[in-house]
Amino acid sequence: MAGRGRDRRRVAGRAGELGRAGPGRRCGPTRPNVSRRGEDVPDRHAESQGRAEKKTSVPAPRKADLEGQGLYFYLKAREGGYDELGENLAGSTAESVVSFVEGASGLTRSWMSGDPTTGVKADAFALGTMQRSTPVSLLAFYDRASLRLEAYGEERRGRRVSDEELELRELRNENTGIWLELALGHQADFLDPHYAELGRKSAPVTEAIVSTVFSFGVGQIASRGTQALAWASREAAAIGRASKHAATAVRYQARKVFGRQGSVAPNRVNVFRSDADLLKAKLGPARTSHPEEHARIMKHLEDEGVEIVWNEGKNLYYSAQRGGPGGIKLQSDMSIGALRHEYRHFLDHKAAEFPGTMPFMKDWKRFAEFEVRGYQEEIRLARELGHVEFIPQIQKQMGQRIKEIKGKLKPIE
Amino acid sequence: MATSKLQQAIDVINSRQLPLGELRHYLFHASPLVRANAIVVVAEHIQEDGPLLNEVVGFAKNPDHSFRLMGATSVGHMAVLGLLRSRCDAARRAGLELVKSWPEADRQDLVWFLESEGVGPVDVES
Repeated sequence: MAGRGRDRRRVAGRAGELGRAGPGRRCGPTRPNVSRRGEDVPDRHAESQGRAEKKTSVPAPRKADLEGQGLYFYLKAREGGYDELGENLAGSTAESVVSFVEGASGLTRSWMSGDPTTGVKADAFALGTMQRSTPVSLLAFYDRASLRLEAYGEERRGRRVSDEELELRELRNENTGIWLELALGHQADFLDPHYAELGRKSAPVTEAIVSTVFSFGVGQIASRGTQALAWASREAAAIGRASKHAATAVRYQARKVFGRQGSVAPNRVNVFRSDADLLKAKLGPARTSHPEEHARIMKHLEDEGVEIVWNEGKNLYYSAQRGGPGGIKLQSDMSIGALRHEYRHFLDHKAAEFPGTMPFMKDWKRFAEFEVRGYQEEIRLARELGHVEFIPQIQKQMGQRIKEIKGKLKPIE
Repeated sequence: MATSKLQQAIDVINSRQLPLGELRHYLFHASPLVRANAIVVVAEHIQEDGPLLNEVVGFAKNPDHSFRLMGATSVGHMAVLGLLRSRCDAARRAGLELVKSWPEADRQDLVWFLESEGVGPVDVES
């Protein structure tokens, strides 16, 4: 996770500088909405303001900003990733995070009141954005902000961090995969009804995990590493239904941070190749690790009339066909994860009555859903078999693929 | 839910309301998905053998457009599809020539895609 280390501070934006925000940010000091119990409540006015402002592009930080006021922290809203996520989530099933997630609202309060070590206050724009955040989008926000803070710290030490490098760090960040998956799970109209229903049922669990991981991260960023576990445990206990999942999340984070220092080293870029069969190294070929399932899938494909081509040493993929079962290119030593991935594509096309490729080309969400569901098969398998260590990498592959299609990342050849 | 900028671009291209000049801008869009949609619609504007036809052929051949969109389908494949679906004879001829001269390793996938979209059967031998 980004944001580890003793020299990191939570907030960028110096006290008294709030009024200097440029276009696209709300200016002036912010009076927090706080209930009598001291809890943050959603600021409806700010929300509406925020929506109105969303159309305004967020200016890139000036050099002066980077030096002094930490506007490196700013959200790259103009790039769409976060804002789309936040807005989409807020517009679907998720509620505002400030209303019920203790850890997040605690952070919001902290930001509003200023960082005790530096005395700085949160940028009004960032705060406004947070107030209409959901748990998932807030985690995304936190991650990105952490990475930017980290880069900011490096710049202060004289090392310039390029946008490209920042982007890669974001991709390599384990939590990026987590929030991406959680976000997709939340987005009711993004996935099919089955997944939407699943998302609704598991929302409290999801939120608990996010809250827990988030709280843990806050501990790290505040340079209170040893307290982070206690904070996270409190979060988990507060949401009892999800304690098991939350505890898993905590252990996962704790192992990364305190257990094996080397385990958080960035992966090589080429592990993100969308065609990489990550589970193969662990599981071996599907025909030997899961012979029955392998045989069953192959028989089903044959029975359905799918043209099967053995594409040794090359990519695996399912090619759609309008009005027909299509074709599939496989490798004899593919893992069961890769086979399930491509088989899922076939099943999805069949369920859609074989519309061919073109309808997907014209519908970005449908396209993305198709892609994501393939990766979800691999993630599900990794969970089933207890190889959770592969999940972040698979999620990164998924994120990479989505970014490639959106044109936000150059494909890795 | 708000429509993403990506979807907005795709929708505006497929509305077929844009003049050719504006449409061409989308051929350079960062997203391969947008470029794929744009080249198909641009190909519909081909009336005769001329610069626009050459532009679409050049687009199809450009290695930058070998990005796989879905399955084996690439942005370049979409350009060939646009040519073969054109009402202009010269465009269809150019499309067929492209198929014949397409890199061997990818030709089978191209033909598969074209035929799966109802173009063909594409006889690469004739």
